[in-house]
Amino acid sequence: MPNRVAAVWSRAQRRLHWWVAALILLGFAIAWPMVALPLTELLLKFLLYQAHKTIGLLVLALMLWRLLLRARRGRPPPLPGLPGWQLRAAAAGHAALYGLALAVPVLGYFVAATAPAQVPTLFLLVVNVPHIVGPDPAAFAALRLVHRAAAILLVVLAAGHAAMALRHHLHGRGELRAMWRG
Amino acid sequence: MPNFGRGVLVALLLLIGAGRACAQEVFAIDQRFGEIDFRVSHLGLFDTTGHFARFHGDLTIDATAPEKSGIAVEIDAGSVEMPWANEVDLLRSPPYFDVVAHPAARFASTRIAADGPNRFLVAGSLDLRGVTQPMMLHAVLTGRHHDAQGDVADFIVTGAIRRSAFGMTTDQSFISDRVELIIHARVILTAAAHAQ
Ligand code: HEM
Ligand code: HEM
Repeated sequence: MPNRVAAVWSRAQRRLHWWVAALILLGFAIAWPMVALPLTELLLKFLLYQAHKTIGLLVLALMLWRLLLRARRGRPPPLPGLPGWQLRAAAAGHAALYGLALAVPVLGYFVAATAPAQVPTLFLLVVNVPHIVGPDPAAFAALRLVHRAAAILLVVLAAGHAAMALRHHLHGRGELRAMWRG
Repeated sequence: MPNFGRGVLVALLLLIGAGRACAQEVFAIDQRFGEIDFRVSHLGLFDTTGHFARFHGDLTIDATAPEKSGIAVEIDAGSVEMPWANEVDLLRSPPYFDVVAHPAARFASTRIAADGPNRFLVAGSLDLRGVTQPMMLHAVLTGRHHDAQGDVADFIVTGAIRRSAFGMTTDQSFISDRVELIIHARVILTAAAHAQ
């Protein structure tokens, strides 16, 4: 990613950061009951799947938007006082978060498309998102495991990332404030 | 009640070769090339199709006693399949096909009428989950040819039922009451058995 330097996080960058964080956690939280729910609760199960897929596709769209802003505008310079290895670790962590937050929804899309039960993906329950590949039980079995593992990794990484942000905040550093209020 | 109208009998006799059907003949419906599919709608948004893997049936033609002619099909309810994870157990359970109490579903024609060239209207009764209800099917003869089994005729048979009429009232919020049937049937015209 080109490392342009902006004075502060733009309002759009800040809003997108927190919206994406909230949507990822929501989509992750919905995933477990949605899969566990028995087929006797079909309507609810269907609605949870559609909510999960809608949220995930929103994450994908917002992440692409974020990436565009990041490439165009860049980010503010790191606040002084951190050793180089920490800056490099933070940059690597952020790159991994970007990668996973893009990969998880893309994988999820292919899970939905290859599922033997041909349930359409209805964004916001009304817009039919076409599946570019058809049902494929073997691919489905593999993809759902990869999608789930990548999602867990994403959330674990984000938790570590949040822990670092809180730690810095408690030590009086300004990163969290900058991401919250600019 | 005569099962066949006169026109149908003539059409079917032509189908099997007029000279042969002098007395009652029974023709097997070949399951290996057949398919019984059913389709339900979900919220009007999309459909799901399931099918029965095992069934057998006969087409009986009796030129001398048309009332003895007709179609009878028995379906193994436990062979139901749908492309959902864990769906088979659900579909076999009491709220759906209840296969322990009612292992077989049966269709028997009561009357077959011609409905245009190569088209037939089949009135009959369907016995499902222990409930018997009248049912109307449309059959279209789509092709005839000769292969290893002898002369065969392919039909596409369609119809619809309301599942609630058979006491299957579960999950009306998500699964339509109307169930469409799409049956691909192959009749082996080389007589399987001569009853008389
Ligand atoms: C932020 C994005 C996403 C996250 C964090 C996420 C997370 C998860 C998790 C953790 C599971 C596993 C649940 C389990 O196995 O019990 C799952 C399953 C699933 N996800 Fe996602 N997902 C995301 C996006 C998407 C998208 C965009 C789609 C489709 C358009 C999707 C479709 C699915 C499907 C169909 C399953 C169920 C697979 C099955 O039935 O086993 N996901 N997701
Ligand atoms: C799923 C949840 C999250 C994801 C995917 C995520 C992702 C990211 C990414 C990719 C960046 C780097 C932005 C860039 O360089 O363009 C970032 C920055 C940041 N995030 Fe998160 N984040 C999440 C949750 C959180 C939470 C919960 C907090 C705080 C409690 C937080 C605090 C921050 C802060 C303070 C920064 C700025 C770091 C800096 O100045 O280098 N994030 N986040």
